[in-house]
Amino acid sequence: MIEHDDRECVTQCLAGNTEAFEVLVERYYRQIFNIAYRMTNNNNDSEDITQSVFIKVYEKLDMYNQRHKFFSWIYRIAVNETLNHLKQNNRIEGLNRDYISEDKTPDESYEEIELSDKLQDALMCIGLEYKSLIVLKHFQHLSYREIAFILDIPEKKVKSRLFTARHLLRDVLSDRGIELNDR
Amino acid sequence: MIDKKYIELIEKEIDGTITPEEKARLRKGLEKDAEAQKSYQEQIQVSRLLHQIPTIEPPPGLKKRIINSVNFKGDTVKIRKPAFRPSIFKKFSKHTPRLAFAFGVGLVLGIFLHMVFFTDQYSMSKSDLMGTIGMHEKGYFNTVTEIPIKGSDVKGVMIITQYRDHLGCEVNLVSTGDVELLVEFDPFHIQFQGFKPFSQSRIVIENGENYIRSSNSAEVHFVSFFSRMLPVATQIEVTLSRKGSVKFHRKIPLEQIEENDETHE
Repeated sequence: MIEHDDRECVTQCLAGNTEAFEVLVERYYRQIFNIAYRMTNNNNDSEDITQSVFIKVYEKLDMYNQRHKFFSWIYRIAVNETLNHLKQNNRIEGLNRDYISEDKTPDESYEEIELSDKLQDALMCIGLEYKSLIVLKHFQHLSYREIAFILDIPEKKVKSRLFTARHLLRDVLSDRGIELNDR
Repeated sequence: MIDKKYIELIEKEIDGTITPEEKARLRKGLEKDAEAQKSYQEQIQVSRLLHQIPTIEPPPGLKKRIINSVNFKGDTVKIRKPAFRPSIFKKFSKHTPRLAFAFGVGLVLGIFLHMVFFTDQYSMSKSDLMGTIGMHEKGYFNTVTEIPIKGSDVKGVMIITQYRDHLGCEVNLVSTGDVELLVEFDPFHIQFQGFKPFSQSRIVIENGENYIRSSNSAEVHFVSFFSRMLPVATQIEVTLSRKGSVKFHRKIPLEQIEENDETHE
């Protein structure tokens, strides 16, 4: 249904309806920001990337092939934009705790923030190709097929690389003394 | 390293899409393989951990910033030119001086070659040459008449050849200056078909309804082809002149050929 709405929004955008584009921004800017953040570990960079992703989306809207899902297409742009950004700037910063969402008790939030911090740090230690897979699979909850489209690799490779990515992440976490058994 | 066949099953388990049969197969396989069992545990634990991580809320104002940054009134949504164009121009612009130099050298060389090999060859007026030239099966026309030309200022030979309904008029002359060759014929029975130069000398061909006039420079060798309507074409008339003075004139009778004559030798 959302996908249908996305395509309708795209059609309306191409017809000159700017409000339809605002709907798309509202629908996806959080996810794009999260993808960028998990891969860059930098708030300012993530904001810049999110902004440039939507500018590109608008500029290339007439090139969007409606055979694909809109979110796959925009995620693809987001991942590529982030990878390009990372190649140009290699900055790593800690997580800004002010941005953690959800309504949680202070204890729950602190625990999650601490875990999120450590995991984010660990994530920054593995290669980009593995990091993007973890982000798309475990933070964006995409299917293997969708990830394959976004990263432009075969579905089988998505599975084998994901397996390796989790293994690498586990090694980094173990090296930092994070025990996984009781989680 | 874990067997690849388990990777698929572990991914399904993480996804929650594993069937009871597949799960049983996975469990059975892992029981026999301690390393696979360890990897399986790691994968499940890391996946569970990752699912506990909260979503990051973007900073307030980001949406507004995005909307404001998009140029809705600009040339954004439109039919775009192919993306390769700018890169091509960019690539070429890098090498503009070299390309300009190469182009200049090529141009000069081209003009030089044209002057040497083409300019002095021949030119046409009034009509384009076209048509089919029939050739004898042995590759040559039969000579009808061979006319030696011997003058004080022009020497050479003119050869009239024939193959069935085609005629050739070959001219090979050396003169002290320009000469003009006029071949006249009955247009109802003979038609000019084509022209082939054998020398690099300048030749100007003028094709009239009942004549071909060629103006040649000092040394010339070419052949003109004609088709004739069987069987009534009987002759062609050749006139060679220089500076308006007729040097040679002759009516050349053609061999009579029957329509059913296939082997004219």
